[in-house]
This record gives sequence, C-alpha cells and structure tokens, in this order.
Amino acid sequence: MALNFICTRRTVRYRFIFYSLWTLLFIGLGWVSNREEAAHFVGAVGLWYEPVLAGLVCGLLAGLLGLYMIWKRIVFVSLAITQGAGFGIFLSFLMASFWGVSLEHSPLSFLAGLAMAIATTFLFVSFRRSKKYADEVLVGLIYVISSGLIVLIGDRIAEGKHAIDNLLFGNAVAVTSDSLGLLVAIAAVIFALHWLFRREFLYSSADTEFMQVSGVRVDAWLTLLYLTLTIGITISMKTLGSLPVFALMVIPPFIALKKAKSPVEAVLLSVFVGGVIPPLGYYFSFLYSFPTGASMILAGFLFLMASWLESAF
Amino acid sequence: MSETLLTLDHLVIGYPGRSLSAPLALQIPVGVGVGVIGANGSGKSTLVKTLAGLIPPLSGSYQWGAGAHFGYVPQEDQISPLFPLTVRDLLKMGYHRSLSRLKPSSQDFVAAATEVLEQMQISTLPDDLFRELSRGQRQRILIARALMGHPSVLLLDEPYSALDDSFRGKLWESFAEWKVRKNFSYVIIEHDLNRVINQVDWVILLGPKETLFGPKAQVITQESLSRAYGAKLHLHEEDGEIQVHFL
Repeated sequence: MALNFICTRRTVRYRFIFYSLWTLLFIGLGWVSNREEAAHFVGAVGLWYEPVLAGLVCGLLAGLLGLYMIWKRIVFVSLAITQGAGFGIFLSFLMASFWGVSLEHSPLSFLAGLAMAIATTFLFVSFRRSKKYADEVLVGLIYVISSGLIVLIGDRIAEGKHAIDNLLFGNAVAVTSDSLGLLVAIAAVIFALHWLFRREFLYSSADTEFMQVSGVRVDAWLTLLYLTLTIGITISMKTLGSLPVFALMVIPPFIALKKAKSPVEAVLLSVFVGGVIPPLGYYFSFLYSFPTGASMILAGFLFLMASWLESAF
Repeated sequence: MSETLLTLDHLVIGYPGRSLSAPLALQIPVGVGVGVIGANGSGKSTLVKTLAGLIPPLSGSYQWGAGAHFGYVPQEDQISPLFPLTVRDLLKMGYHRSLSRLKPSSQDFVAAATEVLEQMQISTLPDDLFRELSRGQRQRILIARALMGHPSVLLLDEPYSALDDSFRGKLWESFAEWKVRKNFSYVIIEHDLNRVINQVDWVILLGPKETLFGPKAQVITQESLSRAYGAKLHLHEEDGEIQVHFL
C-alpha cells in the first residue's frame, strides 16, 4: 500500500500530446489556407509579440481561475464581475471627462474597474451567505444593470462606442509594455498565491464543512480566493475584453475537467489549453482579418470540438 | 472526577425563529461514546452541526474540554462530483495541517494514510477518483479522512448507512479500544436505534416535547423512547444487548 502512494501518480501526458497536436493542426491549416499572410505574421513578430504574450498570460490565468468558477458553480459570476469592472472603468472615464483628461491608457481606470469588481464580488458573497436570494437573481441583476449603465455612460464619454467595443471584445493592438508588465506581475502573484495556498483553496472549496470543523478559517481562505478571482478577471478583461475572458474561463476548465483524474491534472491541462487559445485567436485574426476577441472564441470552439473527439475515443 | 469532554450550558439549538430543543445542560466526561437519537426532524444533525461550530446556538453555550480536536464525518459526502479528487486528496484533506506547503507529500503522510486505509479495509488505490467509488467505499474514505488528523473527538452524522454489518462491527471494536487506550470520544447520530444504543455510553434523546440526556441506562426506557418517537415500541434485552422493536 505504501508503495502505491509513491508510484501510482497518473500522468496527463497523452492529453497534452493530443491538444498539442490539435494546436499544430490549426496552425498548419492556417498556414496552408493563407500562406502569404502566415509568412507575413511570422515576419511581423515585433508587431504582435506583446499582445500575444498578454493574451497568453490572460489565458493561463483564466485557465486556473475558471476551474474554481466551475467547481464553485459560479461561472456566471465571472460575467457579472467583468460587467461590474467595466462599469467601474466607464465611470472613471465619465469622471475624467468632467476634468477634461483622458484615462484610456491610465492605471487609474484599471483601479476603478478593480474597485467595482471587488464590490461586485463582495456583494455576491454576502448575498450568498444570507441565502435569501438565488445566486442567479443577483448575478442577472448586476449584469443587466452594469451593462445598461455602460451603454448610457458610453453615450456620454468621448471614447464612446469604440471604448464599449474594446471593453467587450478587447483591443489586441493596444497592449503596451507597461500594461504587459503590470499583467505579468499580477499574474505571477496570483499563480504564486494559488500554488502556496493550493490546499486551502481547493479543500475549502471542495468541503467547506469538513475544513471548518478541522479548524481551518474557511471564510478567510475563500475571501482570498475570490479576491484573486476578481483581480485576475479584471486585469484580463482590461486586456482581452469581457466576452473572450468569459470564454477562457469556461472552455479550458470544461475541457480539462472532462477526463481529469486529479486536481493537478485538471489545473495543468486547463492552464495549458487556456494559454494556447488566445495566441491561436490572434493568429486567426491576423490571417483572416477577423476581430481578435471573436477569433479567440472561435479558437476556443475548435478546442471544444477537439475535446468531443477526445471523448469519443 | 474524570476530565470533561463537553459542557452544555442551557444550549438551545435550531434556526432563527425555529428552536429544535429545550435548553440542554449537561457535562459529558472524556472517553465516552455519545449517541444522539430521536425521530426524523428532531434536530439530531442540527445538534451535531452546532457542536461542530457550523451553526450558531440559538441561545446558551457549549464548551469542549481543553485540547479537544475534531474529526468530522458528514451525513452524506458534501463533495461535488465536479471535483476530480482522488482518495489521496481526501486523506490529505484530513492531514493538511501536518503537510509542508512546499512539498506535495511526506513519508509521515504516507505512513498515516497506509495505516488508516488498512484500518478501514479499503482496497481502492490512492489515485482512484473519490466520485467513482461505491457509496460504501466513499463512506469508508470519509471516516478515514476524519481519522487522519488523529482526532480526540469524532463527530459522526449517520456514517453507517452504506456500510456492511461486519465492517460496522469492526469499527465499533476499534472505537471501544481507542476509548480505553487513547481517551478517545465520539458523538454519533444514527437513525437505527438497535445499531447505536449498544455501542454508546451516553445518550442525548431529542423528542418533540422534551430532551433527555445522561448515561444510557438512565435515559433509555420504553416510555422515554415511545414519547420521543411518538410510537409504540417494545424494549427488551437479548444476549446482554438492548433491542428495540417498533410495534
């Protein structure tokens, strides 16, 4: 029995190989179908490496954080958080316009979004604790009200429709070295926290009552977990846009969990697929002049098809 | 005078606007098995959850003896099948306080897990998925998880419903041995009266109008059980064991 504890750790090697082959297949198909643009894409590496790197980091983050969204059955909360953050960003734009300054590339707009996202999360957590209302009601209300206010404010600020589109679908080419640096730093902190406190986060999520009776401060750990989710979602949304982030929070974890034999396997595969989808989306976007956010969602859908194929065998 | 395991000071359990017991006041010594019995809806699980710190008391208070640390076996596994947790993960959950943050496992964990799995007679592998085990195997794993932390008090909420008779018997034997050897105590809810009343020393009997508590011989009578369960029953002894038959 002792030997079993040491020797029987299963590997996820075959699943990594399978999804790596799919990635290569998509890259190859793109190359074959549009050789000229593909060569141009390789040649223009200086143009796209920062946005692609930013997309990759967001994908890695979403792959990790999305697992908890699915495990805690709060997938749609991520949508409410992104809209809450978006409302915060637009509110900061509106306030800045009164002062006659632009915040489009300022960290202040990110901080405003983060503050509103944190407020949304805590509103959700406290409503959930009170158990007076169904989660879906609150999530729906936050989403609808935030979305409505975003459109209203968007109508009154100088950035207007362009800013709303960026918020929803991201702006691939607008990633600067500074924003990439901030993203990488935040992602590194979140990954470090999730590794260091992996057991507290996972076990408190999986069996709250047992951990509480064992003397673990479950509320504190779950609050920290939600905080990392909120910050990760907000910074990713600011980079990629609301809908691609939502897709990245759902598709890679869904694929990973389909056949996962352990939490470690689920995390590794989800992070891997999450990291692959955005660069692939940029690639398709470049080759076929698709909108970048929609391209990422398309890449995610192609991986979903791959997972159905994997299930069939 | 032996050490005190648990002191209840006019403890009233229930949910806001709905109390489930009369005020409970008692002292239970260390090293005993306590059975919590009563009809469906009488508040058995609520009492154990209150004592476990999961639900606040409506009024009054309770105090565990110094140094008590708990193992908890819930009524049904609370773990969503969405979590791909292995048997190893479940055991780590019970052992998490002794695990290093930086290392995935330790020799001490392997030794403790091996011992507890052998005690639970579990033939599954550590890498088997918890959600794919049979209900009986899952219950054994949940008990194993609770024992991983070497608790001085085990709180069990109907842990035996899917366990076979021979394993149940062995578990009772282990509990009896630990009570003597390790000053171990347990509080158990069990809906099957015959299963539980011969294996515990103290009883908390939750009835619709009264709550009786104390050493088993003082609490378990034909009249007290009839009142608590609202049914006619016959109580007799057979081979030194109490048997209850509902009429």
